[in-house]
Amino acid sequence: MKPMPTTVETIDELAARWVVRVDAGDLSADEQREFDAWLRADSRHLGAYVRARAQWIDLDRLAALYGRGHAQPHSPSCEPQRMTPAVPRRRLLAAAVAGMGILVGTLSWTMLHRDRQDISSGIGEVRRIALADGSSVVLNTNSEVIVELTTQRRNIRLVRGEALFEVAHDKSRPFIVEAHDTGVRAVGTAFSVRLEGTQVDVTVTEGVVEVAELKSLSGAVSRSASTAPVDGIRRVAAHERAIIASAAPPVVQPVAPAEAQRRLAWKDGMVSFEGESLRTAVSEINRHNRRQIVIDDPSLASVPVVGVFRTTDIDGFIAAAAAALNARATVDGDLIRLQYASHPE
Amino acid sequence: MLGAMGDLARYRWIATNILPHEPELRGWLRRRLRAFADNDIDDFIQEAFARIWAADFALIRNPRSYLFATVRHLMGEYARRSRIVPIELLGEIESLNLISDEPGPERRLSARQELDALRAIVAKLPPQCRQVFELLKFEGLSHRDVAKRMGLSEKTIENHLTRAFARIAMALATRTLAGDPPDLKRTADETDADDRGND
Repeated sequence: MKPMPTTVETIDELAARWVVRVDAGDLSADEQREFDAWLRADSRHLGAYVRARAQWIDLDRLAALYGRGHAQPHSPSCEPQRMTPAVPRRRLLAAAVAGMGILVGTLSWTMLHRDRQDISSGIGEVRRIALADGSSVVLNTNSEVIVELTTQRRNIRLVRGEALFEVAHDKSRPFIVEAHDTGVRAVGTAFSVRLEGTQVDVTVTEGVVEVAELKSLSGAVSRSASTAPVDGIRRVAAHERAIIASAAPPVVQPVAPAEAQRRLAWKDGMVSFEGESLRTAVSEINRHNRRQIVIDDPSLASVPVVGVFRTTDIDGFIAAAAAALNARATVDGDLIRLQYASHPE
Repeated sequence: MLGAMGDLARYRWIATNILPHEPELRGWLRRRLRAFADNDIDDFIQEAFARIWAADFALIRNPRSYLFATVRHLMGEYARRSRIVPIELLGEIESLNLISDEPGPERRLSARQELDALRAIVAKLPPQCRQVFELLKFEGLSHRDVAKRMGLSEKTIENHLTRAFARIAMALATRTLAGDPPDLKRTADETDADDRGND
């Protein structure tokens, strides 16, 4: 006979474990059944899970502020430690809530499984979201996506801004990002999509995606099984970038890995310039900030800029620009005006 | 649109509107319900979150009041069903009623304070737990990548992560807010016969 375990995980610890497992994705059918049964067993389980999931999601907000590179090198194991002393649980509330629990549990069960999510980020905010299928989305500043996961497909609408997608492999459910009237289809890959007005900019860092007019891509999806190339569908591979202006075929150009990394620096809260015009750099910084920089001198606007900046550190950017370009900044309410300190000959 | 809030938005609503009040609620329950063990307080909190999850958030005007009222309601149910009710519990339920109707002090920490609190908690984790948590949550690596990088099984990664997260979650939920003016905690308490311990 097996000895009785000497420790029991508390409900909050079990909830933490389920949140971690669900976040990792890939619950097997057995695990899913186990999770469902656990959720239904006791309304406290559901409550503990909701609370833990909210905390987990909230940690992503802090993670964006935490900064990178804090991870430690190799260190001894914490595996053998148990956090819970061997305390038998007092079931104080069990009787009190037995009747109510069933109704609340059932209602909540259906609510837990809504599959449409509207996710947005504020100005200056970078938000990382784990989707239920194991994929993740990182939203750049002032961006919004609507996520719909069904058994047939995974649909994400980029309403505004820019997002980086890391797609969990699932052949049976294509992952489609819609931006304006362009569709981007992936199976298991990583890519970013940026929407500026009606222009869509797709950069692929891993795997292959298919880019097409939304209409033809939807058609291709409904015909599904066929892998034959369909008219108007353009494949974009890793280290390539596709720019789709409305009513024109995609322009695909190569992107060096370093360049792709640089273009995605925003996910770490950074932005980096390597010879872009000050005009471009300023519009990038402005995306991330409520205060806006205005360049008063047209000749200043085309000067090339090099440097790495925190996206939300508008003052740091201004100080660097002023020093490097012999410019002067004047604050005008929420506007910061840049002009030459003295006109060059 | 009403009712169109997705799951993630609902969790985020809870994170923004309910979680910040949990330390205050726990502190209150711990101070006032001396007959109850921490486990019992956990029960009330879990049950409250289950009830709140079932609610239509669009109708909740004051989340703090709603949280406190939910717990008060649960305690009332408990008192009615329980064979042995500590006699002072009924009075406590009333005083919770008072505190839940107050507008409530501003308890939100600044992002900087939250971050400092989180850093302090993470720093106290056992080293390997801490590394797993940081790689996964802050560096954004997958379970598989962390397992590969640290030469551990994915199951072990899950165990470390669960332990790290459970500790962090409990530490955040039970922290005392350094910026709290001390008298705020007592305003409601003093309206009823308080300080039983004084005699």
